Amino acid sequence: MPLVWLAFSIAYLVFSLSIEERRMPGGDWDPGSTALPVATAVVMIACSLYLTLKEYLTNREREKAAAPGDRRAAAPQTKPRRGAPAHSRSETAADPRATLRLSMLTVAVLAIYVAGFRQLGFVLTTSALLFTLTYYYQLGDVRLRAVHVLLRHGGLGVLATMVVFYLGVTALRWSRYFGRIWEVEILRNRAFTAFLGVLLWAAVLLPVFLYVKRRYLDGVPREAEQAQERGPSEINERGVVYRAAAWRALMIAVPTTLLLYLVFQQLFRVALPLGVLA
Amino acid sequence: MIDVLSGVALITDPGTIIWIMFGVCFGIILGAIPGLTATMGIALMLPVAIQLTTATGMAMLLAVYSGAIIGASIPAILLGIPGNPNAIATVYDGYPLTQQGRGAEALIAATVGSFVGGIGSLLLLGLFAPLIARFTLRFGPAERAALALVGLTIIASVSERRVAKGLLMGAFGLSLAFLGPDRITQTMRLPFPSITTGTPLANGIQLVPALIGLFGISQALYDIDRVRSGRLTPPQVSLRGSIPKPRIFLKMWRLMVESLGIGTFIGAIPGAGASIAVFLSYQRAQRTAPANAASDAPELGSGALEGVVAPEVANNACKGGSLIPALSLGIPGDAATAVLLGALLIKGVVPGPQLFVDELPLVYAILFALLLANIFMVVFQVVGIRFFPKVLSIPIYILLPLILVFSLLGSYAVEGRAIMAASFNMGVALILGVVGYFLKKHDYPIAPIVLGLILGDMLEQNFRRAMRLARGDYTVFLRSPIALAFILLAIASIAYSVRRARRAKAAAGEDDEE
Repeated sequence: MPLVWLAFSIAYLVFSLSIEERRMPGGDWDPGSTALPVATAVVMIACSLYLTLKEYLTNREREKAAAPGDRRAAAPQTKPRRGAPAHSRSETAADPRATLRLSMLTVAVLAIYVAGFRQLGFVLTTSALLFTLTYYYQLGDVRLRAVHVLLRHGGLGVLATMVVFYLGVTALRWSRYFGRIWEVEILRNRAFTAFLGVLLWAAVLLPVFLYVKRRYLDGVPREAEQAQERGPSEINERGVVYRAAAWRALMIAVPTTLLLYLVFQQLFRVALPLGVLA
Repeated sequence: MIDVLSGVALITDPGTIIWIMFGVCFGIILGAIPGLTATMGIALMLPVAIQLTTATGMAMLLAVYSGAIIGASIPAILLGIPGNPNAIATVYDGYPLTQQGRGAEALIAATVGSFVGGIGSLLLLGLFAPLIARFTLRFGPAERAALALVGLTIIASVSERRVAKGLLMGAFGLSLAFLGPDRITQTMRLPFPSITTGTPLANGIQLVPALIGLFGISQALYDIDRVRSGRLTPPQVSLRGSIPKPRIFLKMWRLMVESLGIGTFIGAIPGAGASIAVFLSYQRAQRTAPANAASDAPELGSGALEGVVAPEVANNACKGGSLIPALSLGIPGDAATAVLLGALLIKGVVPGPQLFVDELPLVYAILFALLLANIFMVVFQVVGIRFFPKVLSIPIYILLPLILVFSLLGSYAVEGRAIMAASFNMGVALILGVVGYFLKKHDYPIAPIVLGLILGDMLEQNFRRAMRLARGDYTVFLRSPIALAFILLAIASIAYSVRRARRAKAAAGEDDEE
């Protein structure tokens, strides 16, 4: 890590020296626009050199202290070695590889979210992001086998969010329209229309969610057991688990996206892009 | 006396009280969402305030201001994400307390600190407003640059034993602050200028997205390895057993008074900002906490109540402090008070020394409205403490995606209606979130980056102006008594931090030998 910082500090020094030097008008005594960036770069280089040296000396001391031929003991052990017994693994993270895969997936999905936010719009990207993360976090790992369930249910979730969102927005527009025609101030009030939106979306989503819960979630342990009995195949049992996770993710992603829209756009007047929905 | 009673009468009608209650509630919700600031809340409520009478409108806006400040401490304590930059120091001990299952206790400590800070600064505002305002007028560029230097020396104390790493991170924060236009000569300081000049990077890196990325996103990424365990923190103990005894807070009276002084004074200096005040008071707590030994964990940074109380007192005292120059001189102390002043001007009230002569009942009405807002703030917070920690019982597979989405939308919301710049802010938050994650993994302190980012602009502008005014004479910083006092304070602060780090190292060495 200190070496990375050293490289960054040197790059920053080069950049600071390349900045156009300008002083304030009539200000010969002004240190100029490059003075503090250059000083900062020098401090960064000094600190990272010190840290690099310190790390080098610490490693050398550790190597000296270790018995000859036992280099592995000298190295800092941040993760369990391959082939280590299961109990020693469980003392550290549950599964470092699964955590790494989940971290990489999270960063990748967030990057796609940020990149596509403006073009695809808030509703589509947010529901997809929430669905993907909730789904994989429930599974605790990124498994390729689970992708088809993700795509099927995720697609359904995004579609459902868009349809319900469109219904709500249309109703809000009508509310404002009638507010204007009938001169009823409350029908044009943002807080009231937001409240109306919550009621409408709840009326549409609640029965659907109750049905999904009864149909797909309540019987999951029993279904998993039956799948297990049908054969030793792990896929059978996992298929049931994947589907349950996907339904749960869908039930979280759809209402959360809609509520976030109401809070940010309707109440706090943040301009959320509609993207493809526009 | 008649003026006081007239002022009280302006505020005590039921309609105004309901508006104050609404304002506090709105402010708490707003402050609790990372990225949404008090300034934004006041600006949002401005059209409503204009429709009301001057006293009622101002009372409601001040209630939003008060609520937003205390609201920011809720995510700082429960999730380790400060709701706004002024709640950064609350994270240090608030979040460890939550991880120990003492989140409710930390929230109570924050409420007590906020109340003391709010009421105390109100008293100081009422008693010494003209005096403090005249004193802060003596702050020129040299004094401000020296104050920024004091702020930067806090890096050493918030870095604990990692002083070199802390310095490196502070310098990294400064390097981020220097990106974009040089505010004095408008020189562009951008890498690859042919590509980046037309992009939002040309306006520099904003503080709030950086803060959300470094604290919020990095923490969420860091917590992914807990996904399999199902919960973010241990279950909360019952509220009844977790209410700290009043004597614990009484023992902290000295720390509270010091933090109150720091907060009010820094708040009264226009442009200084509460971030310096909260770190200065936290540093003060580091020195006095072991002597107080008020909590079970006297070591600051590992879950000491002093580490929550001190910054919260200072943060809320800044609120009263920033109103001192605003009301008595017409100079806003920060962005939020600038919007408040705007509301007054729209109503035809001109802030300044004449306000205390021509509109004295209104001044008393404002003070009384702040008092009521502080009382309601405590009431709502105490009621809310039963419910806020429930957020931690949400399964982690739901909570983490929510934190990530809130963090990104929070950094987007800073720009309000500028979609391009807002999307850029999301990118900044994500990149700094990933950087913060790696820094945490390698035991680098993150707070110095934020300090550098906050103070970089203030340091550079005032240092250059001071040098120009003094015709290149560096002794300008020694000739001004205020600047000299700040420089001595900075030296003392570094000396103390180095001594503390050595002692801690020696103690760690002894433990190892044992």
